[in-house]
Amino acid sequence: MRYRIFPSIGIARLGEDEDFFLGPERPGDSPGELQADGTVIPVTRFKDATRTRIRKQGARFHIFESQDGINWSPANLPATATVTWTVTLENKKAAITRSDAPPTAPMRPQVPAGNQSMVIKGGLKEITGPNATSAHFTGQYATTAPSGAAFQVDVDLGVLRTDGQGRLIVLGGKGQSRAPAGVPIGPSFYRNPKWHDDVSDGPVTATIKLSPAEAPIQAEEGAWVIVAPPDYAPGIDCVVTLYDVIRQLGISDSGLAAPGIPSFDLDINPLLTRVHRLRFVHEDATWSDARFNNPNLGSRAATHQQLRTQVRDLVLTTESVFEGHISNTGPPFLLRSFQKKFLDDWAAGNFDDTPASTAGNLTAAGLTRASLESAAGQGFCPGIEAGIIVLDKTLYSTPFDFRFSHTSIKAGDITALMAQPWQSDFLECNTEWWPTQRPDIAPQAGGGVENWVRGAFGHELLVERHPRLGFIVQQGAQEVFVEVERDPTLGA
Amino acid sequence: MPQTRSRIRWHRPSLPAEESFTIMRATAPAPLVEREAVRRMILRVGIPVVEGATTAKEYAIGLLQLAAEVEHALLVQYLYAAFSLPNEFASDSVNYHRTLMNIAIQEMGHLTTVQNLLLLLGGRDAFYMQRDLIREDSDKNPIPFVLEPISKASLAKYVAAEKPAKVPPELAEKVDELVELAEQDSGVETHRVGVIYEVLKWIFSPPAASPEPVNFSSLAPLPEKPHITDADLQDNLIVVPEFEALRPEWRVNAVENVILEPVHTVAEAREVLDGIARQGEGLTNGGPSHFTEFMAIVAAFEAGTISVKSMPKAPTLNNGETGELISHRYTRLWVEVFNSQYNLLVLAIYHALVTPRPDDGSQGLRAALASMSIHSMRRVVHPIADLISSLPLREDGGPDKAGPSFALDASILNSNNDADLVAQHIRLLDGLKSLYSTIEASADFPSFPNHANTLINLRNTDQARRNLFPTPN
Repeated sequence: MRYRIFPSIGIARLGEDEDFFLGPERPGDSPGELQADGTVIPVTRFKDATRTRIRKQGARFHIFESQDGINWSPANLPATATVTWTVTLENKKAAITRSDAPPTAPMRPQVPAGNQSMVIKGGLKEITGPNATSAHFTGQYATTAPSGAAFQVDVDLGVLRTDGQGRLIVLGGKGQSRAPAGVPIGPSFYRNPKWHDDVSDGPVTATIKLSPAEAPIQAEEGAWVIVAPPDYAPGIDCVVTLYDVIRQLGISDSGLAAPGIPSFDLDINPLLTRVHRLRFVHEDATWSDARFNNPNLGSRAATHQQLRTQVRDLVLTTESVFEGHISNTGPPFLLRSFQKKFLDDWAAGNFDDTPASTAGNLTAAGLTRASLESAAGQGFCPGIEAGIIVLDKTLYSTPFDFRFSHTSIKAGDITALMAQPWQSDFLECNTEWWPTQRPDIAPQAGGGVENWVRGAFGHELLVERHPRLGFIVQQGAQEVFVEVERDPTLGA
Repeated sequence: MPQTRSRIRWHRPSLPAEESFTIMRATAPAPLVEREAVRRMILRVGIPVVEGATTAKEYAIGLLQLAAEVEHALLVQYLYAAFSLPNEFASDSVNYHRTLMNIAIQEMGHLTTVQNLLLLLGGRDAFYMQRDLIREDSDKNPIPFVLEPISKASLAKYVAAEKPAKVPPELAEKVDELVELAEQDSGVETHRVGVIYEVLKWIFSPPAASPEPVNFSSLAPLPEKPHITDADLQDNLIVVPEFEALRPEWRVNAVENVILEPVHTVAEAREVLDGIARQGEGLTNGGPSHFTEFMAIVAAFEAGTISVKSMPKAPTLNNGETGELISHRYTRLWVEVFNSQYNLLVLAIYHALVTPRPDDGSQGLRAALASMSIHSMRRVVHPIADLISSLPLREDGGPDKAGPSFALDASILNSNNDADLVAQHIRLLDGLKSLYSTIEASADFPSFPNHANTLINLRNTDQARRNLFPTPN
């Protein structure tokens, strides 16, 4: 039997509160509240009761098994089996050689010899068995203040947990960013020397022993975890997600099979939903267009071709509204080729209208897709969870299944070239970049719309007050998202 | 009241024999080569003389007003050029739309920094956002103000305007070819704007400064005391901080290499003038410049890697004006919308500049106007330009598409009184309200189903703008 870890790339998110919820595990799902039996129900709160501390988003990893290496199903391990997980987390954002603007093409981060003290090494932690907790990934960050005085702090990059079934849950840091006294933050959205945050990433491995007497079996290729900034609009995803970007790379460069005709339910409708939901976080009227609600969108009838074509064009409007890289050699914001082909096929009536659903049991492919669809793939300048480095095809193991090769990259490489610290990007890139993670607007329960970042508009303010900002959250089963859990004492 | 506009005439000096030009050998020291290049330019273009200026301060304000007009005009021309290119990689993996947008944004930075220099010298009344008044008096503009899609001829004009006095030898032949093409196409001599900044740098130099490339005082009728001193400056503890443009409020940190600097001293003034010169129009050929960017675009254009949208040259709504008449009735309505929104944008920037910054740290009207201006650039001007470039140019059909005409009503900037400025906002907004209704009633409107969304966006933005000016009870 062969074993692998899914999702191949998991996304955890920062939060000061030690309490946690789980990231999406089925395509189209929102984050989930872990139950004792390992299942999840929709999350009802993203903060603690004080509304000043954000709950961490955990990334849960599962073991899948396969006889042929092609078809993977949840591992059916015997009661005698144990799974030992290891994770390494690092943050090298402050230590690397960094330009004034994000890279315009994939590049590997470089840490000059003199900057090693600014690499926050959380180290390798191991965890085994159900309902366990590891030691914290605590690393040291050392630099000098403008006065010349030493600045040295411990930084908590997170901790490992397991659920009742022994599946790994990676929890990240607190969302705290710091620098020596007197070191300014701003005006750069990208490079603020001597500032560190507690974002991180690193490899995940699993060793399976079917019984104490049997030889350990290593899960093939391992997996990777990215600990990213909070997602303030969970349930609203980018038009171009990290999944779309990596999928296109796989199709173009790494032998991943090009998709056939699209399924309306599995391929088209999720994309339309993502665009339509933008209306809750970005103010362009296109996203509210009534044609998104037309019940005939899933009909292949020629009489509805004009409607389909018009709605395809509404989706493509995103290319003129959202920003890509600010440099002329960086990528503009564009839908991926396979997405455009899907839309063209759909508009032409060339699509599968058989009802389909991603609900039900967790699947290997669905776990990876759900994880990466919750992350931003558009406008790598530098991005939110992972930047343009993901376009380097040499990062991935082969055969391609969205998995970083542990021999190709090291812990901390994926997040190294993201904004330093992450709050500076959340401030400056405040329109037309990533409203699905960092909303531009905040619809109110009583009607009306507010500026989401009100009360925290400023580099220092955002570093200090980001936990007090509101979340844009779906209300029940309705397609209505409003701002909740904002600290009422945070001013306008 | 705002400063009245200056009048500029270009004085072509008759150089004494010892100042006559000589061919400099390639081995000559750099300062000599630079001096020779500046002298050659002066002989050809002349020196801008501010009529009636009797002090260095009056002279500098006059030149800064001219610089503001030139920056404003170049900004608009480069924006139009950017609109003519798709926002995507060309076949050489460069996004030339983005290149031009970034250059336009850098021109916006120049324009705003020039406002800070005007503030430093003349206080609030010195802010100046006009585009055409002084320039139209003279044929010494760097290039005629003509909106053009990207072509070899249009690029040639931008190269002519931005080229340094001393062109690198390896580019000299190509630049000469482009300047000749620019002059053939425009029908007039093209000029570098660099001389304006060169004279300004000299005026902001200490009297006993190290030798400049040229002693302008000996070549043109400058004031008797031609150098700015600290005594000429506004109170840089009260007046300047209250009104100066700062990077955070204009949100330029997300764009590469934008010069937008506060200026408090003569030395800082000279430094920012040098920075502007280096980045674009100036004579100092150092670092990345607009000149080198345009030369790269020329190379790509000649290699056939750039695809250009079909847009008119010098689109206009007015019969009898030079340029291509936009005759399609529906398109004309959108161009009118564009022009009103562009006027609102210029008005809002000016209004923000003349509005004092609250001293309690609050945002206030100034920050709201600045924020509205940024929003307008991104979400109003650019999208409507894209929309217009997809509409027909002529009523009688044909494949040609239209383009925005960027008509600017100079009278909107006649007063810096807050009530007058608010009245201008409301007048323009009322006109737009009527235009939107006319568009909706047009027989063409149903043919463009996404135009309804554009109108919703515009009405929302306009309402937000109106909300900045509450009607008194």
